[in-house]
Formats: sequence, C-alpha cells, structure tokens
Amino acid sequence: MTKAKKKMKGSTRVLENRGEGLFQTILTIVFLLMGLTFLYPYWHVLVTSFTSPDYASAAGFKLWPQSWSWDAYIRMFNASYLWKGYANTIKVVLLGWSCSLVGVVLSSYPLSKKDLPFRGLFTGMIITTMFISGGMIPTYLLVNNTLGMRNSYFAIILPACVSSSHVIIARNYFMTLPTELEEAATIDGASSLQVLVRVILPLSMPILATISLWVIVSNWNAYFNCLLYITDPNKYVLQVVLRRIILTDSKEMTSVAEAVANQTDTDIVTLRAASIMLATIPIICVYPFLQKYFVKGVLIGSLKG
Amino acid sequence: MKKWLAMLTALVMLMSVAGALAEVDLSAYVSDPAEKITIAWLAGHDTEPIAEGDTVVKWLEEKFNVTLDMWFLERENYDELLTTRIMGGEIPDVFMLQNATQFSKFVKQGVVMELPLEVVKQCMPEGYAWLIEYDPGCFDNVSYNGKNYGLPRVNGDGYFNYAPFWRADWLKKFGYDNGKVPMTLEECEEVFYHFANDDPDGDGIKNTYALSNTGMNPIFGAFGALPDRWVDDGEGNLVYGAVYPGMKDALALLAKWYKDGLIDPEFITGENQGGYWALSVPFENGQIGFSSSGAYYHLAPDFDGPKNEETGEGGNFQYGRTMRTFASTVGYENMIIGFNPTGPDGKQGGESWGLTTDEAVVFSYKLKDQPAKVARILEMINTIGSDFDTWLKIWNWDLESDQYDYDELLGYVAKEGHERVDEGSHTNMFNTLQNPFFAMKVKPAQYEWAKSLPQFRTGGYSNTMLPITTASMPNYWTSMDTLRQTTYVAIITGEMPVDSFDSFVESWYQMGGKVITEEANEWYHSK
Repeated sequence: MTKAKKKMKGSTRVLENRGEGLFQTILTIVFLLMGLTFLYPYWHVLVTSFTSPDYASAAGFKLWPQSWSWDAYIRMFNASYLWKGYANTIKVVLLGWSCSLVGVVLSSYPLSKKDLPFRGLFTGMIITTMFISGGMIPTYLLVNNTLGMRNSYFAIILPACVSSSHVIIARNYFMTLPTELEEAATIDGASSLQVLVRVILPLSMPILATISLWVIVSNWNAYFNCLLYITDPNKYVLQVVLRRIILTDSKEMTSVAEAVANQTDTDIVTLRAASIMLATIPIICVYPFLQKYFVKGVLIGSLKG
Repeated sequence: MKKWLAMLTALVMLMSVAGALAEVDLSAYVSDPAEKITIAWLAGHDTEPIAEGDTVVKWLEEKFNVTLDMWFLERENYDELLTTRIMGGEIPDVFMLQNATQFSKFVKQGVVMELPLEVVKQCMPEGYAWLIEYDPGCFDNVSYNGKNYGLPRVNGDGYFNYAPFWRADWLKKFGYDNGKVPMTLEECEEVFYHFANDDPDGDGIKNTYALSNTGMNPIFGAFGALPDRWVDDGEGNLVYGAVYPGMKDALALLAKWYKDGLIDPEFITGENQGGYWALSVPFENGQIGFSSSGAYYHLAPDFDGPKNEETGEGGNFQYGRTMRTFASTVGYENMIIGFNPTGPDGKQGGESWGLTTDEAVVFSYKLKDQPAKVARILEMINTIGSDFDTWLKIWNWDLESDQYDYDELLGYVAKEGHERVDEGSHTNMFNTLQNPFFAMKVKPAQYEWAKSLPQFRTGGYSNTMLPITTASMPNYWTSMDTLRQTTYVAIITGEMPVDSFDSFVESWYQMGGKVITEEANEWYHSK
C-alpha cells in the first residue's frame, strides 16, 4: 500500500467520522425519544398511584402528581392478604423455578445426544404438545380429580412446569457445546450426571438464565390456575390478591346494596395504578441480573438445531 | 322385531309425556327443621370469599339448622370457573347465574332443575308476594320454554331512570336560572350551541363542547329508543333500538352537531377513560356541560350524616360516587340534575336498568330427587329476603342489630357505646333476592331524595326489555353489534352520510336480525 493511498484512506475516514458523529447524535436522540415514549406510560401509572383520588382521572400529560397522596398504597398495604399473597407468590416462584429447571435440563440434555435411541420420536412427541393441548376441562379433571391437587401449589406449578418450547431451546443450546468437553471429562472418570453438572451446566448459564426468566415471570403472573385450583384464601397468590383488593373497592359498581354500602374514598384509578406498581416492581428488579445472558441465550437456543 | 322396537319407543314416549304432564307433588316439598342438612351455597356473589369461622355464617347455620358449604368463584371468570367445576363433578346446590346467556346455557344442558312456580309459592309465600308486587313480570326472566327454572333477582335501582346533569353556572349565562333547565330537545339544542360557541367557561378560548358519549343517550331517547336495547314499537312488537326508525332523525341531528363542533370528538373512546365507569372525565375537566354518565345514586348529594370530626369520613351518607368527584372538581353548586329532553313527538327517556336484573338463582339438577332440601333452601332464601330483622343482620351489618336506633333520614345509627364489628360483607352472598323495600328502609334519605326528583321518573329504556337470549342470538349477535357500533360512529362523525342508515337497517336484518326479531316477538307475545 503506497503512502498516497494511505493518506486518502485516512482522510475519508475523517469525513466518515464526521458524518458518523452526526448520524450517531441523531440516532441517540431518536432512540432516546423512543425510549421515553416507552417509559412514559409506566411513569404515568407511577404518578397516578401517588395522586390523590379526586385528581387521578383528570385528563392530560402528567409528569408530577397534582396533589400527593399515599392513600392507594396505604389501602393496599392494609389489606391483610397482601403480604400473604407476596409470600405465597414467592413460594410458587421458587418452587416452580427449581422444578422447571430440573425438568427442562433433564429432558433436553438427553435429547441433545445424537446417539439417544428413538430421539426423533421423543422430540416429535414433545413438539406435538406445542400444537395440540388437552383443553381446560380435561386438564382440570386430571389435576383436580385424578391427582387430587386442590389447594396445593403443585396445581399451579406442575401443569406448565416443563414447557416444550423451553425443552427445544435448551436442547438446541446443548447441541452447540463441543462433544470433546464431555469426552475429556468421561476419560477423567466422570459419570454422565457428573458431566452434566460439572461441565455442561456451568457453560449453559445463558440458556438457564433465559429459561429462568420466562419461568419466573410466568409463575409470578399465575392467576387463572390459582382461581381454579386454590379455594383456601390463605393460599391465594399475589395476582389474585391484588385483583381482589381492586374489586372490593369498586363494589358500588352494580347494585343498590353495593352502592350504599361503599364508603371508601380511594379511587379505583389510583388503586389500580398502585397495584400495577406492586405487581411489577419486584419482577422488574430481577431483570438486570439476568439480562446480560438473556439475548445471548435466546439467539443461540433458537438459531441452531 | 321392528314392531317391538316401535311399540317400545311409543311406550317410552307416552310415559315421558305423562310424566311431564303430571302435577307436581307439592306435599314432598316440605322440610323437617329438626333434620340437619348440608347446603353447598352460591346463591349470591361477592368479591372475596367469606372467611372460615365467620360469625354470620355460624349464626345462619344455627338459625336454620344447616351446615353451609360456602362456595366462592371470582366474578370476572365466573362462567369458566363454574363450568369447569361442574364438569369436574362438583356442583353447588343453589347458585347464581350472571346473565341470560349463562341461564339459557345451563338450562339447556340440564345442569339446572326445573322449579315449578307452585313450589316457589308454597315454600316462600312472603318472598313470592313481594317479588310480584315489585315487578309482576319478574319470573319471566327465569323461565325457559314456558317452564320456571329459578328465582329472579330484582333491582331496587331499576325503579329510577338515568337523568342527565348540566353545568349550572354555564346554563345561568344563557338564561336558565333558579333551577330551571332546558326541557325540550329544541331548548337543549339552543343551549348546546351556546356551550360550544359562546365561551361558557369565560377563559376567552374556544375549548368547550356541549356533550360527549353518554350525553347522547337522552338525545336518542327523545326519538323513541336507545340504540343498544329493545323497545316496544307502540303496537305491541319488540324492535331493536339500533334499527328503530326514529334513530335516523337522531343520527341526523347528532351528525349536524358533530359537524358544528358541539360533540367532544373523543366521545368514541368513552367518557370514563378507564376510570370508574360512571365518571365523566370531560365533565370533570370542564370540557362539556351536559352528560348522563351515571345512575341516580351516583348523583346523590352529601346528606349530613354524623362523621368522624377529624377525618371527615364515616358519615352514613356521603356524596354519590360521581357527585363526589364533581364536587371536588367543578364544584357541587355548579351541578344541576336535568330532565331527559322531550323530542318532536313528545318521547323522552334515558337509560334504565329495569326492575328485574337478568341474574338468576337456580338449583342443581342433583336436587331433583330431594324436594325436602329444595324446600329448606327456599325457606332460607325466603326468611332472609322477607324477614327484616334477619335481612338486617346479614346486610353488611352486625348481629347485634338491637344496638341501633332508627333515624328517619339516616336509617340505622349505632347506639352510644356500641361499635360496629366489621365482619366483612355478607350482603351479596346471602341477599339472594335483593329486597328493594328493605334497602329503601335502611337508607331512606337517598331514596326519598331520588323520589322527590321527577327527573328520575320520566321513564327510561330498560335493557331487560328482552331478558332472554333467543336461540339464534349466539350465532349472529357479535357481528351485528360490531356493525351497529361502527355505523353509528361513522354516521355521527360524518364519515358516512345519514342516508346510509337505511342500508345499515337492511343489512342488520339480513345478518340475522330478522330471525332474532321474530324470536324476540314470539317470546314477547307469549308473555
């Protein structure tokens, strides 16, 4: 490469950089604005939850509460079921999370081995369930009548414990790991289980984190299964409790008795906003810890197969 | 062989006909109070389950010598949850259904037993008497093909129709003073133009409208119908409001108003904007001066009940829900309750709930062979619904009802030294029949206030005019309803010419409206 050429290249790079700099600035502004438009609805809900009820339903762009009030949160925290709901949900999440991880890993790891007998058949059977489901009533009969899980958290956790899509994604991830690693460990005398636990799993953090996030979020949001199988109010999970607090407060909705009976001053709008905050903040706090694995896990798991 | 079969079939048919014709054996419907029975109870609904060991439940169990197995189903997913539980083999002995669709579904599927009216009359004589007194047609809502299948739930609020309300301070600027309000459609129109054009809020900016979404109901009503419910066409036939001939004139007027800037263009998304359903956000914000967003009790003033002096809370009566918000935004003195305006043919009316709801209380098919149990349940429902003292105790009250004094204005006020024990609500779980006469007794001020206002008795269009789901409705109704809504909005906003109403009517009838209207009238004429 001659000097002249080098020089030319250098100058175009300067030009490029200038143009790029401007482009970068515009991009930054555009994405910042876009980010703000995503953030604003959430901010609006947060502000509404702190606004006094009389102003809560007023129209317009809200950056700050017109008049501060803790009413909604006080009402929420005073509902005795709330704390129990949190505790129960955490139980469901932890239990569901561990069951799911064990189930997913134990079913996907063998499927990733090319020498597994009937591998295609098993994979096919698992994939089939993604398209054909038993429907609500057969599921209910199985869980409630056959397994007798009424009022047990396993009724919420087990039906969706090992999701077929998670199995497929995890299987695809395991298939990308070099078999030499396992061979080396085997030569050193490790059993299959030891290979899985000592070699494969430490390398699988991205996929485990991804699946964890999905499982945690879905167990955190458990609602309908709780309505269906849990009849003991002491065992209600958070989402059901929050829903109930809101409903109790909007009692005057329908009939005369309700209209006259209700004396509460806290507006349903602020309550709803506060409940959204209480339901989402804990789960949002989990995200930053898992996010760095998240994108990687989804991509690797889904692309190769 | 074939002959045999034919004869056998004929015999079976004959027997079933004979069975159907047989008189109900009323003597079986008697219960022995000494025998303790268990009742799976869902003859009401509530927002939260009743706690275990609840004192009111215990009291009822002792009083009626029963064991109550209290059911609870979330209201939002009621139908799904109930269906699933029944399929799973469990069924409450007595349960509530939320609407006509659920009622016809469960009756058709045979989940619900027939409950002959003679049985009702025998086992709950007082309850039957006041039900008929309040609404002679109330059992229509729980009958199917001429047979009775349950108990109706009446609605005390249905006695009053919706009335629109105005900004009094705006009206005053245009000549309506001292409680006077526009009475006819023409008078309303004149004021509406002032509201939109002559700066009623005095801020020098043209930022006001006359009305939004719910304010249109009284306008439709002045032309003889509401678009989303059935009306009698005056000749004894039911016709659906959306295709009622008068609606074309109403739409023409509304389209003109929209063009002239009288209607808040945000009317399409509704007035409550995601908040409590009976609120009007544009009214609160001073954008409109006319609305009809709630029932009478939402608009009740602040009756001066005894309140906690520190917090200002706890009076027996506070503002109705809507009025409370308006009082703190536009100001109580700036509100006035108006009349549903009379139209060119003298018609008037707003929304109304009707005297009887479309909810039904029904009995499990498993009780078909247990008349004594049916009798006991009916007696319970009768006593709670017809004996004032019993009713008072379960009505969100405490069991020591003798610790209260009766006040003409305030209803029941606790005696000095007695503090009400909050047991949570039992109102809805046990107040099966919703006796409106009792509710009026407990909160006299609100009822007396509403009765004193003729605004609430101009008559209205009730959505229980046709309380049943006709056979063809499930097949067509959703798409017909979408067509109605989009056409109405399009005509009002000028997207479609007013004359397209005629082609809308035609396609509405073609899409299934013809069959459904015939079915509706068949039911209506058989009443």
